[in-house]
This record gives sequence, C-alpha cells and structure tokens, in this order.
Amino acid sequence: MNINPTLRPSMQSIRRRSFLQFSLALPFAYANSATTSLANELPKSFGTAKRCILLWLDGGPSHLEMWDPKKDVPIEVRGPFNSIPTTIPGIHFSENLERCAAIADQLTIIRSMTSPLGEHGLANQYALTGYLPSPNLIYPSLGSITAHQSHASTPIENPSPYSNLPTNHSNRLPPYVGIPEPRTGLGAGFLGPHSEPFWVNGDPAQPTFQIRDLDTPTGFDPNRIARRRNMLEQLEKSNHTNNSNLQAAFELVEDAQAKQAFDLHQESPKTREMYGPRSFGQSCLLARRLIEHNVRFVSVVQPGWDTHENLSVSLRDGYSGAKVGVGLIPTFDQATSALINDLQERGLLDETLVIAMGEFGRTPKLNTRGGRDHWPRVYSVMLCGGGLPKGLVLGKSDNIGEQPDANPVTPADLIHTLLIRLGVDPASILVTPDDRPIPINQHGKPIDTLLT
Amino acid sequence: MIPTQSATQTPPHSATTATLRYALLLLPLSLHLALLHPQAIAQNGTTTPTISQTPSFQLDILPTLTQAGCNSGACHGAAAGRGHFFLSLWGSNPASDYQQIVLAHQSRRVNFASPAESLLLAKPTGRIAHEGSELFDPQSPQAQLLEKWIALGAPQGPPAFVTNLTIDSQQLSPTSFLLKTFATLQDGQQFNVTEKTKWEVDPNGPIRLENTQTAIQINLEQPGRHVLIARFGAAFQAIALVAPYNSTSTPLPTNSANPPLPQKNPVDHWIQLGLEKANLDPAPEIDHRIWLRRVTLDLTGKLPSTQAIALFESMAPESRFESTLDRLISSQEFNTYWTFQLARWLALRPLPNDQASTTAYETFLRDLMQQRRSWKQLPVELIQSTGPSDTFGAVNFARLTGDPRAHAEAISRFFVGARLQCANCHNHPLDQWTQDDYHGLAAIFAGVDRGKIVRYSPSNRVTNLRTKEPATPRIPGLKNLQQHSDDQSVQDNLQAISNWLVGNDSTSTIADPPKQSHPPFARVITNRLWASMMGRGLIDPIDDVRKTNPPSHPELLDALTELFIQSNYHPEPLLRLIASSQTYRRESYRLHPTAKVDPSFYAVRIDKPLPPEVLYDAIQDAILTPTSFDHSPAIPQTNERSPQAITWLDPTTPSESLDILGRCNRNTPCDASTSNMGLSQQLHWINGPILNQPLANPHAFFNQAIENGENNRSILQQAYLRAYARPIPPDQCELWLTQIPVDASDRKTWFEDWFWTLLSTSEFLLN
Repeated sequence: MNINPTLRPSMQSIRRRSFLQFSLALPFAYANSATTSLANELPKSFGTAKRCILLWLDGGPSHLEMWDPKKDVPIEVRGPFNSIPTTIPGIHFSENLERCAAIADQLTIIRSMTSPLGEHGLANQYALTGYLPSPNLIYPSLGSITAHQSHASTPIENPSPYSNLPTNHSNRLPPYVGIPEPRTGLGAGFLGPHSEPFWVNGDPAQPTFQIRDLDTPTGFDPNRIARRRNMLEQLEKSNHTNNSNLQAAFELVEDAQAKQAFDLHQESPKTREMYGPRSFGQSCLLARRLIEHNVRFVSVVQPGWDTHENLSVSLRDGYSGAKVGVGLIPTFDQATSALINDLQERGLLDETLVIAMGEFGRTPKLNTRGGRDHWPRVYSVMLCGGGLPKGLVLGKSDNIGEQPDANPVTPADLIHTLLIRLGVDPASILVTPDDRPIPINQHGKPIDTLLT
Repeated sequence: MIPTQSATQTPPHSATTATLRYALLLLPLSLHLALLHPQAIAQNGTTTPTISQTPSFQLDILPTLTQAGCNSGACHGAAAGRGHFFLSLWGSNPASDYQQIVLAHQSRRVNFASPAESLLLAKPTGRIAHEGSELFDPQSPQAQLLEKWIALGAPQGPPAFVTNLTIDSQQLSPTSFLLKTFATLQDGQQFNVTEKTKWEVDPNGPIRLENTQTAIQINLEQPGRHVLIARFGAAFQAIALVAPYNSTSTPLPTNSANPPLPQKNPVDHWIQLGLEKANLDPAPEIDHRIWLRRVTLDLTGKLPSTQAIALFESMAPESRFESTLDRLISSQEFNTYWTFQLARWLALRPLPNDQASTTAYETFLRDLMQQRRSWKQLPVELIQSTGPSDTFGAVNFARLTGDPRAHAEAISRFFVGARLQCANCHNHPLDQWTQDDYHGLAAIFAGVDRGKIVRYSPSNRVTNLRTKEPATPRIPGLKNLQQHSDDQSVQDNLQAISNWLVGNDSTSTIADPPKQSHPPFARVITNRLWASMMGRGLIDPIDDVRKTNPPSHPELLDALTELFIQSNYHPEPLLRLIASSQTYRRESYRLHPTAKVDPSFYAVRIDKPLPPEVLYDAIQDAILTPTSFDHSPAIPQTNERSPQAITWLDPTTPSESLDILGRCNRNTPCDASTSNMGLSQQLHWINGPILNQPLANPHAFFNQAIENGENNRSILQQAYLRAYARPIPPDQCELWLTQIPVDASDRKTWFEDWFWTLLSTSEFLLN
C-alpha cells in the first residue's frame, strides 16, 4: 500500500502542492482538531523557537541516575550515585550532572514522562514522532516534520527543497542534519527522502573529520560541475523526467560559504576544549555551528544508554578503574552545559530549542548485574531555550521512580507542545504517498505550563 | 486434487514448451480453487447468534474484554500487565485470565454480593478512575453481560476452543460491504460472533465502520485494496476488500493499438481479474527494447550489451522474447546473479577471523547455481548439515545465527518468511504462532552445536518462557516432536523440519488439518521470485508472511507456487512465466507519475531502484569497453578480485562507493535495501569516484570511439544504447550535436560530462 516515494521522484512536487492546498484550507484543518484551536489566535508561544538541537540519548537514559534521583530509598532503588542540589531550590540532580546542576535555572525538566512501550524499536518511534508505531505507516520524526514544514513555505515551482529560501547563503545547507551516524526513528517516514536528515557520517572528534564528497576533487574544473548541472536540466526537460533531487546537492557543492558550517577547524582550541574531546562533545559543537548557519534542526546522537549492567562503569567511569569519569553522564554533562552556555553567550538560546531525551527510563530497582532494564512507565526529559520557561520542574514520579505521581506527559503531548514552540501547527495535515491525510500530531495535548 | 506431474525432471531452462503447457493446465485448476476460497463459504450450517443463558467465560467474557481492548498489548495484555492486573494477550490464555479476574487478590475484582460494584465493571465504565479511560457505558450490553456473569457466580464453564474464525462479506455498493463473523468451535459448532468482534482499523486509514443491527458495515473512503483484521477473543482473521477506482481516478490512457490479448498466461489472467475488480486499465505496453533492458537486469543483474541489443533487433518480433529468455536463463550471468540473490536473502556475512568458512559458504551457493541443483536442497543442506565449517559450506548458515533462538528466527525468516520473534514473549498477536511454537522450534536448534565443526548436542535445552520448563521440540503450528536424547533424535528432528518446509511430510498426522496449503518454503520463495521481478511481493513485505497480511492475488500465488513445486523447486520456469507475461511488459510509474493507483494491482510497472551492487556494475558496463575492465582504476584493486560487484558475496568486501550507495551489511534483515539517493549519495554521485573515475578512464567507450575516429553522431547513438538500451531520439541527437566542441580534449571532457548526466537520470537508476 505504501508506495515508496523514491520510486516516483516527480511526484514530490505534486505531493507538496496538495500539502499546500491542505494547509491553506486552515479552517478544515482546525475543525478536525479536537486538541487545539490555534486557528482563532496563535498563542504567543507559537514559533518562539526558530531552530532546534535534539540530543538523542539512544537506548534509554536512566531517569534515576540523571534528572530524578531518589534520596531516602533503599540502595537497590537509589543506585550507585548520590544526588546534589541544583540552582533550583529544592531540586536535586545526580552528582554526575554537576555542570547541568549549575545551570538548572535555565532548564525545564519533565519528570513525569510516561509511555506504554518498552522496546527500543517501538519506543523510539513513539518518542520521536508522537505517534504509536503502526504497521501501515512510518510516521515522520520531529526533525523531519520541522524540516518539511520549512520546505513547505517555499514557492512550489522549484522542487528543490531548500534552494528557494531568501538569498541567504546559509540556506543552501540541508534543513535537517544528523550527527554522526544514522539511527532509526530519526528519519522522515512517509514524508520521503526530501525530509530525511543529512547524516554527516563521520566522527567530529577526529582531527581529519570532514564531510565526504562535499568538495569537487582536486584538479577538476568547477565549471564542469555547472555544465553537468545544466545538461541534466536540458536532458530531463526533453525526457519529461525529473530527477532534480541532485539540484540540492549541486547548490551545496557550489556554495563555499555554506560549506564552512561543517568546518570545526574554524573554532578556537578553547571552544573545542569546552565541549570536551569526545565524539558527543564535538558533535554538539558542530550542531551549534550549523544552527548559527541557519540549519533548522540538528539531531545529535549519543549511543550507549541501554545500560543493563554495571551503572558505575557505563554511566560514570567509562572504563574500569578510570580516575576521572569519562562515562556517558560526565560526557553528556560537559557537552550539554557547554552547548547551552555557548548558545546563551551568542544570543542564540532564546530562539534555539534544546531537547535531551531518550526512548524511555530504567527500572526502579537495580537488576542482578548492577544495571537497570527498560522502564517506560515514568522517565525524564530535559528541555532548554526556545522561549521555554526557565528553572521549571514539571510533574513528578512516585517515591521510587516507578510511575508518574502528577501531570503525566505522553510523548504525543511533548511532541505536540514542542511543535507549537517550533512554529508548526500540530493540527495541520500531511499527505501520505497514497494520499491519506494525516494530522501532524493527533493524540497529544498541549502542555500549558510550557506554552506560557 | 493437486495434479501429479512427472515431466519435471527435464532441465528447467530448456523446458519452454513444458512451461507453457503447464501454464495452460494451471488455469482451470486455479479457477476451481478460487471457488473454494474461504470467503466464498456461504452461511449454511451456522446457528443463530445467541448469548447462552449463562455467559461463557471463553466465548462471551474474554471476547468482550478483547473487543474493549482491555487485554491489548498496550494495556493489561502487556507482558508486565498494567496496574498489577495481568491478562494474557487478547485472551490467549483463558485459565490464567480466569485466575486473574476471578481469583486473584482474594477475588477483589469481582463482587458477588453486589455485581455492579465489581472492579471489573467499575473501572472500564469509568466509575472508578481508570487510566485506560471509560471503555463502555454502564448501561451497555457489554456492562450488562459482565454484570450478569458475575451475578451468576462468575463461572469458568467448560473450555471452548475457537478453531477458526471466518468473515462473511456481502458487497452492498462498490465501496461498502456488510461483514459478519463466524467462530467455529472444536466440536464443529459455528456461531455468529459479529457482535463481539473487535475490528482493527487504523483511525487515520480510509476504512470507516458502522454498526448495523446484525452486521458491521464497512465503508471504504478510498479506492484500492484494504485489509481489515477481525478479532474474537484470541481468534482472528483478515479480509482484503477492494474499492474500485472511478474513471477520473484512473488517468491511464487505454492503448487501443494493443487490444488485450487472450490471457493465456496465468499471471495475466489473475492480474487482469484484479484490475477489473478495481476498475483499472493497465498501462500501455513498453517498447520491446525497454523490455530487453528490464528483463536482462531482472534475470542477470546486468545491462544488455550492445551486441545483445543488436541481436534482439535482428530477430523476428514473434520469436525474440522466447529466444531472449532462453539465452538469459541459460547464461553464466544468470548463475552469478541468483547466487548473489541467495546470499542476500540468506544474509551471508563473514564469520570473524574465519575466511575459510566464509569462502566455503560462498562456494556452496555458487556450486548450487552453477550446477543448477534444485533449491529443494537448500533446507536439507542448510538445516541438516554437520561437519567442519571450512569444508562443508552449508553448515555456516547455522554458525551465523549464534544461538538456538536466533537460529529459529533465521529459519523462520528465510524459509517461512515469518517474523517469529514476537512469539518469544507472547503468542504472536498477528499470526498463528504461539510461544510453544517459538520455543519448540528453538528447542530443535538447541540440538546443534555451532562451533567450528558443527555437530549435534542432544543434551542442550532452551527454556520455554511460558512454562519455564525445557521446551519440547516442535514443528510450528503442527505437532510436537521427541525431546532430544541422542544424535539420531536431533537428526530426526532437523529432518522433520526440513521435510515440513518442503512438504515431504506426508506421514505426518495432523489432528486438525486446516486445509493444508503449499509447503512454506515453496510459497515464500515463489513470493520472493515474484517480488524480485515485479518490484513488490504478492505478499508484501516479502519477509512478513502472516495470516493477517493476505496476498494481493491469493489464487495467483497458489498457481505460481504450484508451478514452482512442479518444477521441482527450480526457479527458471517461474521466472520465465513472469517475464513472458503482458503484466511484465507495462510502462512504469516513471512514465505515469500521475497514476496514483495502488501498486498492488500491477496496473503500472513498479520501478525498482537498482540494488547498490547492480548499480555499481551497470555504471562500469555502461561506461567502459569490455577489454578495459581489468585495468579500470574505478575498481578498488585487490589483485584476484573480480571487477563485478555482484560477485562479492561477502558484504564486507571493501568498497566505499557501495557503502555510500547503501549496501546492506546483513547484520539485520535487508530485504528492503535499495540504493538510497539522499544528499550523501548525491554528493558522492557528483564529487566521488563512482562515476568520475570510470568516465576519466581512457577505456571509456567514448574515448575509444574518439581514438578510432568515430563521429559525434555515432558516439551519441552508442551512449543511448549503453545507458538506456534504446536509440537516441532524432531531436535529442540534433540538439546535442550542436553543442559538442571541436577541440580534441574539450570534446573528450564534453562527452564525460554529457554521459555523466545520462547516467544521472531516473531512466538509468531505476528498473
């Protein structure tokens, strides 16, 4: 049933056209929305975030070892770490989140996320798309929706997804970039290849890091690239076929200024150190550069959070016997706090939404291997910037972190709310390749406290 | 009922006439089968729907819970239960459900003194806070039923097992249907269970449900094929309904120049019936030369050579199809390509630090195709072989799986096309597989020691997660086997499994024969072969064969499977039959971008992106002259390596271009893997070596032609034949002729650039 859109490239523009028809028919879209009525008045919070960096903690980070530590509980619940106070009075984080604790008054923490799905492959789809996975349809991720919506506002005559924005060089860059390697759940689903993230496919922490094939080979006359581009246009015109997805790549190849967004060597050694030497830190730095160049959405993946055993090693130390912890949390703590501070200093934080989350939390009790297993009943998410409230802790889990005690928030609710902040109407309609109208978000409710 | 044929020992690639004769034989048989299709069963012999005086726990209560979704995987049916209330998924374990509902927690979920106050009622009717929201009204029939049952003492009643659920459909209008469901019990009694049936419908889908007095009315809001799943308790059934397209939604021009031929080929017969049902006209027939390119790529993974095109054009139109198929099917390239296909399907990948075993496995597959041995040997050798893995290549199938459960899953994926892994933790929610099936299959493979020398290990066991006991070896869905006691018992069980896969199991005593269809392996391979030719499986996706994913053309799949079995599991006659059909000759979506019709009708050819390896070879073949192959700098050099990517059965054979084009590493199933032209691939296409290196090669055909003093017109003509297998249109030729520079070196780079664009169009990239 699901026609692979790559098979029918020339349908892309048609689909986008029908999308526009739908989005122009706003009364229809809103009439179908039981959840929100943006039609009458756009809330002030609509579109306060112009850009977004998603820190995807792949595997399911432990809420109990990060944002929601429990103090006066048995050791098998508390886990191996202590908690520390933060700059929000009365709120503690895990001791390994020292630097994030120092900027807690900038953050929003949701401690009452809840989902029914405890399998990675399903839970990450729900967390990232706001839709429970369906066998019929792969839904688009938050990043792809956001990227798609920025395409949709461009004139439709040119099918190239990002060549027709205002003549700002930076817009030659793809609207959605993924760092470093592809992960399931972060893709475009039924929106098709135009809305897939561009994966940098390399480790930004490597000194030799560069985007493969971004530059014309040495000794190759750049005018020939222009000639090929021109010939391809002629050929497709006369063959009545349309393969213009190469056009976007041509635009980027020919734009030296835009390509600098990927060049980490333009950063000072001090800045590079601030983010930490590891892959995740340098990925966050690259994300900041891309955001500065007007890339709309960047997903940074930190793998390895599926910590079924030995939390001290995986989460703190990094390897047995480490003197200074280089595990997941210290790496995350350094990079994330550096990113937020850096965005703040550059005056970008108010317009840039930062999200740090994974697909679920971990079991309230340690297992026999000193780890924790999957636990979607309650978990935590960190948000920052983009106009969100500062120093807010929303919802709470019960005394052992087993289930939400107040204000349960589903992934659908969270996606719904973030879409509003990103200037995307959750009730507007996307069209699948087989012409089915699908609301961007269907089952979510806006989280009012995050939209004031 | 199934004809026994003995004419199948003939070498299949020369069995042209036998195939056609067979195809003709097949037609009436398949028609006959269609009449017996379950959906055609009339309602005779069914009893009227009743809720018996005493509601039955299994036939009334559990189905009511299923209908309301209480025991779904997202609620109390989850493995971890919900709110400490644990139900089996969809009510598949009535005894445990009864325990939970009536007995657990000192019976606090039922209140015999005041039935209406029971938790079982107060929660779903919303009188007590329920996270799963209010599911039915206190006055609803569901609530009344539960209340009555509790008032009567919540009796467990005698066990009642639903052996079959059927859906009876009556078409009211082109887009609406009246459906009723009937449950057949173990004793043969049949009940109308429409009222207690749960219909699974995607709320975003085009299917709308309406309750009528005695049936359910389905309205299809979009043309096309729609699948609906009905559940009654733990029993379920799927039905496919077709809503026709109207004349404005079928923008395909009818091709009056080619009136529909009599449908001699069963492929065309069944596809045509489907088109008529959907009110669709097929796309026009393609140019014969496009057929040549299509079929050469589909049968050999290569572009047709210019010599092959010339030969084809020299032949009379009436004989060129058959003789082309003869040539392709008997070619060496056919062997090479289908070896590659098998390696991909089997997810062949290297064993760490064991090149010798990898090579042995590759050799096993190469020899199978080279000697044109029957694919019936595959289950026998891949499942039953033992011995040193560097000598007996087939044992490496087992070694690559790692453990008994993964072994069982690999077997089910390749040989059954089923995703059995769901049944590890609970009965498969969308298929017939139970936990006992899953662990029973794993128990058989527990008897295999996957060391460097593969041998039997009769004392090894796996635990059935349901019973927490050592699992009993079992043929899924069929029967238990003996627990392993010695090597012979392991061997017997492995043999029983491979016999089951290819239908050699004639001695088996099936207690409840649900009209045994074709052996699983024959059906799944037939579906794979079809998908490989047609761009989409009759069951789609091809590795998701299950009861709730019905084939688009069940009768055609039966007919083709029958042909495959009658050909003694040789793929050639089946491939030939498909390639000879009119259905295979249609113009593609590339030429009909506005034809938004459900591809499962095959009204329009589905363009398939060339797989990375095939694309890589096609680029080399299009650009380079044959003699220059060995010197091509485009090919990452190792001295002994063949330049053809489809001969690299090992997916870790180094090639940056293949990695970027999205070559599957086969660590996870990759049946859907195709070249993906995202931005990374596009950048590589423009700046990487994949095209630029061969184009700069002095042996590129245009460089050779220039050396030989050929004129521009001739080079343009050759280029079109090499890339598209069709002549350059005269206006195109004239257009480009005016642009070609005179200066010798400029002329070469002009052709480099121009041929680059020819290879960058969808016409080149798709088949």
